[in-house]
Amino acid sequence: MLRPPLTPTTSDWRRRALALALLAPLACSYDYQPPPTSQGELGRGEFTYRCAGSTDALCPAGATVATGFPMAIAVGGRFALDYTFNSDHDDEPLPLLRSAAADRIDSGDGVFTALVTGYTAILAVSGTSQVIDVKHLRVAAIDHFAVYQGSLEIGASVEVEAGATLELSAAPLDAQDLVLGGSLDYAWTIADPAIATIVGTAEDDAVVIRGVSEGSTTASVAVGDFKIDVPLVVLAGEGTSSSSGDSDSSSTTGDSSTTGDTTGDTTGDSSTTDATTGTTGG
Amino acid sequence: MRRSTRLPLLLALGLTLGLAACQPDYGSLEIEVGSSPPLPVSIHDHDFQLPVGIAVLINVTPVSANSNNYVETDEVELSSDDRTILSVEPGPEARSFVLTGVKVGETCVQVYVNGGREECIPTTVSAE
Repeated sequence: MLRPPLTPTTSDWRRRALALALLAPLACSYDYQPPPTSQGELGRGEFTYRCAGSTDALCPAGATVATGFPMAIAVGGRFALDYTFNSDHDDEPLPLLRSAAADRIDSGDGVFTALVTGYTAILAVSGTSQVIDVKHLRVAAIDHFAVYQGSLEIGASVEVEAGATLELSAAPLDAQDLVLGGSLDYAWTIADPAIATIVGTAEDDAVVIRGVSEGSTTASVAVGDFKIDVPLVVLAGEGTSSSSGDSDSSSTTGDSSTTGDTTGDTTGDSSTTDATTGTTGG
Repeated sequence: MRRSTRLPLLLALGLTLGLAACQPDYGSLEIEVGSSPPLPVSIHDHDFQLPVGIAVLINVTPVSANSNNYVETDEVELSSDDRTILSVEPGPEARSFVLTGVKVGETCVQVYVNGGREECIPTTVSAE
């Protein structure tokens, strides 16, 4: 019996090269976004995670559907869930979703609030009181924040020119560095308002800060008792357009698209517009 | 006269005993765990242990202690003795139930077969 040659021939190599060339663009353009859904543990449908507010780190600005189903929810985090039957059960009426233990995950008006760390089951209950599906959610304490300027996590400190603005956003993470879901009540503060001030709301997960005068101060963000300080350096300003042109300095806010892109995944609320206007005017 | 009053009684007693002999006699529950909770649970016919906040689906089948087996139409109901500690709710299928640890503590799960109470299975809901 004849065996095929072990060494590829020239035509084999050509075919492989052609296949790779055809597949390469697909590989590069494939931008996977995990769905905000997770299969129910009894296999009859799937749970969809929705943001209950504008301060959920998992939801882009203005969106209620998250970019992915959370691995964990922050203690105190508020969120919503939907349930969709699989095709073989889609003639059944939609179930009511409720927490298995109200003192661990509370529910009311369609919004769940994570209260206690650990796993808690969410039950999908039919009109006849049958539990038709189950999903366990993990609630975790905030271990640390990641603070971003645009899409980049900040380093030791951030800089902004006097008269210019920058936008920071915070995301809560657990001890395993997982971004925690749930809308939270943020509180941003600036230690020395003579150096920098907050433009617009200070209760969102993103904040716009304007440099006032040259110097150093601290921007702080807190959720409950958890707080993180970000050293903030305000450089001497040179009018509205920055001479540095560094992308890490939001002082170049003459072009609102710079911050617009970065805020797009955080708040995108009117504070951004205010900030841009303010900078241009100043 | 005395003979005639005893006869129906004896017949009734015999009939009752005869029918009872044809009925299954509850022995235990055969339990199959139907879901995979994220934390370990211990489900046996003689005791249940699960952490607070965890829900687990079980499928149960009554097992007769005599030679007359239960049939599918025999109804099985489970209920929690203390719903503040453990909730027991019907699952998606017949004879399936979802046990959920609500609060740390001990209680038991009442087992009813065809409406008759058969036993109460000791249950512990533990902290995570």
